[in-house]
Amino acid sequence: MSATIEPSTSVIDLSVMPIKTANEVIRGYGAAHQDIEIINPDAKHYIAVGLINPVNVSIHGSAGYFCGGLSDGPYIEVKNNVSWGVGDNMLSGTIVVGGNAGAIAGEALRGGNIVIKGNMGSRAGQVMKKGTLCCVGNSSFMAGYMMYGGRIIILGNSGEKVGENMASGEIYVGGTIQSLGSDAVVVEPSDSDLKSIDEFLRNFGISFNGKFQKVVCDGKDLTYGKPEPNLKRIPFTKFSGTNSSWWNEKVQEDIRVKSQIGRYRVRGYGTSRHVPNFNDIAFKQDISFDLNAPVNNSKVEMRTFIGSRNGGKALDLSMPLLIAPMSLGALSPKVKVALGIASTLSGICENTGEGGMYSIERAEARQLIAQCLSGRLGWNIHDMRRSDALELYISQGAKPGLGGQLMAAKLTKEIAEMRGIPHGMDLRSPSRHPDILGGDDLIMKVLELREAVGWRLPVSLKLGGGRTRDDIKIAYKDGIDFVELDGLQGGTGAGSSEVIEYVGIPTISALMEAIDGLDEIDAGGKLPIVLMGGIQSGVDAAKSIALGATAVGIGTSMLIAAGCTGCMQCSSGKCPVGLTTQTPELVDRFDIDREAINMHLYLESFRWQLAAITSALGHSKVHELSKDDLVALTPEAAALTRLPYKPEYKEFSNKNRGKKLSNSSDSMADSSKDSETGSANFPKSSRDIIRRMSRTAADDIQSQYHILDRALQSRDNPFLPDRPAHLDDVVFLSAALTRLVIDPYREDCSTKTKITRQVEITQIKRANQSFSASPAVEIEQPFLFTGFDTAPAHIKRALARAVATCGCGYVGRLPLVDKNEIKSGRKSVWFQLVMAEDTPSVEADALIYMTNSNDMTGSICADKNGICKEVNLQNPKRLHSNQLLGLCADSKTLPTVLPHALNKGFDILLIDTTSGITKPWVELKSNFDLTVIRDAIFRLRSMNMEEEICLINFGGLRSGTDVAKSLALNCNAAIFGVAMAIALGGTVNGNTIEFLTDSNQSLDEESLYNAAVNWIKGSAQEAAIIARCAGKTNVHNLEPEDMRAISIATSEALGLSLTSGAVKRQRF
Amino acid sequence: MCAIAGLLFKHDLSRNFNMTTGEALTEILDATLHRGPDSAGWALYKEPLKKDNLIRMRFLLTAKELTQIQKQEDVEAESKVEREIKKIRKQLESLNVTVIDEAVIGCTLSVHASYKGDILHLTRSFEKEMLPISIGESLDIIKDVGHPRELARKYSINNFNGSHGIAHIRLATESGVRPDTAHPFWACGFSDIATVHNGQITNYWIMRRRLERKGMAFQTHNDTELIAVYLAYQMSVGADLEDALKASLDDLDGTFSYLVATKDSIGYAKDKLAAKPMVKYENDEMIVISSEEVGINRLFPGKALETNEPAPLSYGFWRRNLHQIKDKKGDA
Repeated sequence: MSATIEPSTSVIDLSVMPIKTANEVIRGYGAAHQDIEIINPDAKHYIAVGLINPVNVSIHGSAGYFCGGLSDGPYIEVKNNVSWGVGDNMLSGTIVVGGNAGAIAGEALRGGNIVIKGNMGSRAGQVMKKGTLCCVGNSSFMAGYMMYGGRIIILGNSGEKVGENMASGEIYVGGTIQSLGSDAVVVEPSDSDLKSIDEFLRNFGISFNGKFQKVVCDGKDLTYGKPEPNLKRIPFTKFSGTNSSWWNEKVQEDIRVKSQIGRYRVRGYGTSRHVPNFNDIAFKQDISFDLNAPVNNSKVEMRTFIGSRNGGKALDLSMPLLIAPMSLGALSPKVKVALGIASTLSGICENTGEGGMYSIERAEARQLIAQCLSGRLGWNIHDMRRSDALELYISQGAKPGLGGQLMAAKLTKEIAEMRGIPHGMDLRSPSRHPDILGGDDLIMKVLELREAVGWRLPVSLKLGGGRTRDDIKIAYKDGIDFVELDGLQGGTGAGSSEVIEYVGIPTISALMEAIDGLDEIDAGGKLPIVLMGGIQSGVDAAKSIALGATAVGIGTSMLIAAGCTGCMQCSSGKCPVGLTTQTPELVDRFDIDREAINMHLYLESFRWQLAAITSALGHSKVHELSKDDLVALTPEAAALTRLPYKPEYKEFSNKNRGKKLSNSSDSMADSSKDSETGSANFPKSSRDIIRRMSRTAADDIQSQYHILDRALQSRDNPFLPDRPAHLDDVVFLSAALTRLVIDPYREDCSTKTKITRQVEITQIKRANQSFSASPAVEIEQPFLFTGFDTAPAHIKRALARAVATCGCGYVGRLPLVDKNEIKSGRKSVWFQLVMAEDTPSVEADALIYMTNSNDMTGSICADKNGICKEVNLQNPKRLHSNQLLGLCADSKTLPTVLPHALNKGFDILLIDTTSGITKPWVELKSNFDLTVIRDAIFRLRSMNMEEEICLINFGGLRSGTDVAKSLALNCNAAIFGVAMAIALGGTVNGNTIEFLTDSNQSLDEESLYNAAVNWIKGSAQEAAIIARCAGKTNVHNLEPEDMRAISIATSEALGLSLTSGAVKRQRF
Repeated sequence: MCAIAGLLFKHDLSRNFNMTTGEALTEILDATLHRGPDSAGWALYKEPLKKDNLIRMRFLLTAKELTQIQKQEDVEAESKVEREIKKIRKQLESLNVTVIDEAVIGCTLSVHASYKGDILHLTRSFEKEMLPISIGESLDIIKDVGHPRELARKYSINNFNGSHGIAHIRLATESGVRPDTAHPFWACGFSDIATVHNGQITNYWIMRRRLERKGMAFQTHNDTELIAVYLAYQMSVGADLEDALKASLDDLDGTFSYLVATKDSIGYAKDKLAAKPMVKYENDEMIVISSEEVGINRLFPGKALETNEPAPLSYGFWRRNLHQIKDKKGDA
């Protein structure tokens, strides 16, 4: 290739020089302010990435991915085309592309100008914040996707969904707009707008005579409507564990809140339920410490280097411990500074979290990881260069599938400016990176980051537990230096409460899955894993390292050391101790110096514990700890970790400890009589231990021994043999790397539900062919309701309207109201439950015949006198051609009912997990036999007839998440009873529900209607959020394979695998 | 987690393009190798074996694959391979397939045979016991663990200069790294149809169970095989390729860009998020598809190319000797 080269410039020939060298040379010339000519680029990637000098670069040909990315100030001219992500994250400067640009041109642009003379690919300007992106030709779909600011000028036509989910900024289109994105609107450009565009175009010698349309954000989706009410904390003992009731206080509160706000709920902190954790594991030896002959901790080697797998400078940690990523925004600036100070005092490493690097923290922290998230908020080349490691956030344990979230109450002007986004929005960052759409793109992004910092820094990955066994392989193959792996117990500043509770796997499982995954590809021990998620002390750290982690990370525990009371209101900005707030008077409650010292003391106590345990187990190096040092105390922990199950270690060690404790002056064990915290994973005892650690000098050996003794105590097993299978003990696996998450807060996910006998693969209609349509009822949500046959009339009327408005259905012996009474235009769906004495109604959309579980003589339906109406069921008759026919089965009747239903061509099998759906409020007095769902599916499968009958389940469903679990178990829709009664203001009183009937006190019909609609909306969002986390665009595509159980009873009852277990998969 | 490649010469006129079809596909793969270094594969559409209406068949030799993995060359392994080949011969003979020619290349057995009956019927009768990689008048699928250039040498890919082909390199995600989980996948039972794919099908198990209930068989846990089997199923109930592509947009969930090739065409389908990349380039004589422009640029060094990418929720196909080439939208 020949090119005219100016004599004074320097020439780089990419046909002979590798890009890594070339970028070093480019930066060298740049520093000397010398212009650069690049020949033979042939679409090579990463050209001029990370260039921070105002020099001219001419590229004679086409450039590949990320040309001029992560730069500040250069003038780059590309003669021909560019591939993905030209000018990615540029701060200032100019890039002119002579030909076409691939996808995501100008992604995350933070300033400067990009001009594309040809056409521009999809998602141009995604999450851009400032500067101008100009396309002379046509733009492909979704230009300005989730943009936060800046200007896009398209002289030609724009493709579909322009301005999709934009939060701010302007898009001008000179040609036609194929379609607008959601929350985007076309307005008239002002004179000054046009003048400014005119000036811009003249500067670049572009002439344009057409007329512009201006696209801006419509602002309907920037903030949540109604805020959540302030709530009192409910101790976890009341809602989790073996002894909590199904319809406990927390469940009821959740239903009521949703009936007020009409959406999914948001909160901070981590999962609040019991999950198997490090407390269920013990050391194989009884570690007794003798105060008279203390172990010599100073001899234990703790120093850990991490991150040099690809030649970058490793992090140098005085012990195998890092501080978890927590953003400025989630935390106040003062807390970030204190974390920086504490990390330096203890010789470990701090992390920026989302939203950019805070200069004062940078100055205080000796080692600081810069975290790069999907929105690229505050991300830039200068902060990358002054960091000690880079971290790509894929997902996090607390909320796999979701991006960062910061409510408007905490998004101050300063923080908004630092992040480059509009002030005053409820920020929900994208759940995927613009340029990491799988393991194949990940490697390209990693290489761009490496090029930008001259391969000097480690690049790590933040990964939430889920499909970890697969994801970790990608991380290894893509050359990641280390992985920060985060389990379900990890905390967050804000996220959907259902995702926080039910998406992800426990921390111990995440680690086991990661280790198994690496072993499967013979990479065991070759990829360092930093384990996070509920780690509280040196005891947990020692167990993590023994199980195979290289180091651990701590977040929530650091905050507890600094005064966190565990009120779980982190997202609201009302933190009473000034940690997770930006409100000045609350922020002032936090004393940087005092709390930095407290955190430092906590870290030093952590170090002391880790060393003491290592030493007591007979090792001189912390990394000599191994699985041989551990035993499992509970069947769950044994199953998840494959450690030997030795419950006797618990009794033995706790007995000894109890004695020691009572002899000592330490009365910590019963220091406070106040109620338990709201989180089973940070109970009062954990908080006490962490607090004590943060207030005790490292050389106060006696106190350290006492604290350690306390920390070594195991908890009572929350999964006792009498805890039945419970929907709470089922979690979802989120998409992350091997699968792509569907953005749970914005992308489409269908909840439409078709109730019909058979689910079919799409049948292709051809001209001379017709299908006989089987009866079918279509509803908008997979929700049905039951139990209101004898409810007060105004309740029934309100529910009937809500059911019609939301496109759901009612299941009962009677319709909610007479069909003529319904005011809403929508037809109300009613499935009639037909008992022996009932007459099937022609008005019903479905007739579901009840069966008598006491009668096992083989007859299907018998009344109380034993007279069997078998005739009906032998020849089920539709009273109109589109009427569905169904049978009800419970665990006793299933073996007879199911074959009969299939033989006789019934459309629906109602799976009743209670003792009888027609009994009033039966869900209050019944246990739920989940095995009937499993048995129905397994029987159908064994007959090769799965999906040949529509399954609808009833019993104990409390939320959209419970329905998502039902759908994933292959049901097509689910029936709520008590949950809707609570939403409608009903009070649980023993075995019944009471509605206020006194007209002075009870809610009026309109308020009841709103409550029902709100709750349905919120629950439908929950189901769709879960489905999207699992990578589905339709809730009915949830599969049993998307779920895991965390208790053995649940695993068996539902036929689900445990979150980690002995099962090895195929040969790799 | 991969890169896909496709190349179709529109007509049989003499070409200006100076690489062989095999070379070009290999070069596209090599240029995008960072996207998937685990395994590579090609679906090549060769001249039909005119004489006696022979068909091409290729089978995976599991014993051979094992020796390849363990890098053993002991006698016992060789005899295992011999036994496996004998078994295939015997099976084919019992099904009235007359083997005319056979050769062992890599861990596969390539067979030229004469067979008068129905391929679908034939496949159904042996797919539970043997591992057919491809069957067709023209189609020959070659896939193995390793890098494309090295495999191209091993399997003489660069000598292939036929009308069209598709190819793939893979970064394994949820199924293992083995020759049989490499792409392309043959639409088992359907002569001359092959698929490559970049992305993930997230309703894999639901669709797999549905297809299995329809009598379709699976050999691996790979989601691309699901696409191939899905298309095969739709065609077995009378759909044409275009209909099948369109229906797949409704039935498959997740993010994907996939290519399907037949005796005389290449088609594609793209999910509603259009997250997985796919770039196409067309000139008078050919259509080139790659996951990245850098792949296409390999074939035209130093040239500025007018490339474009398909829209979300769209499908389309190119047929040889036909100039109509248009993207079509699925039903949103």
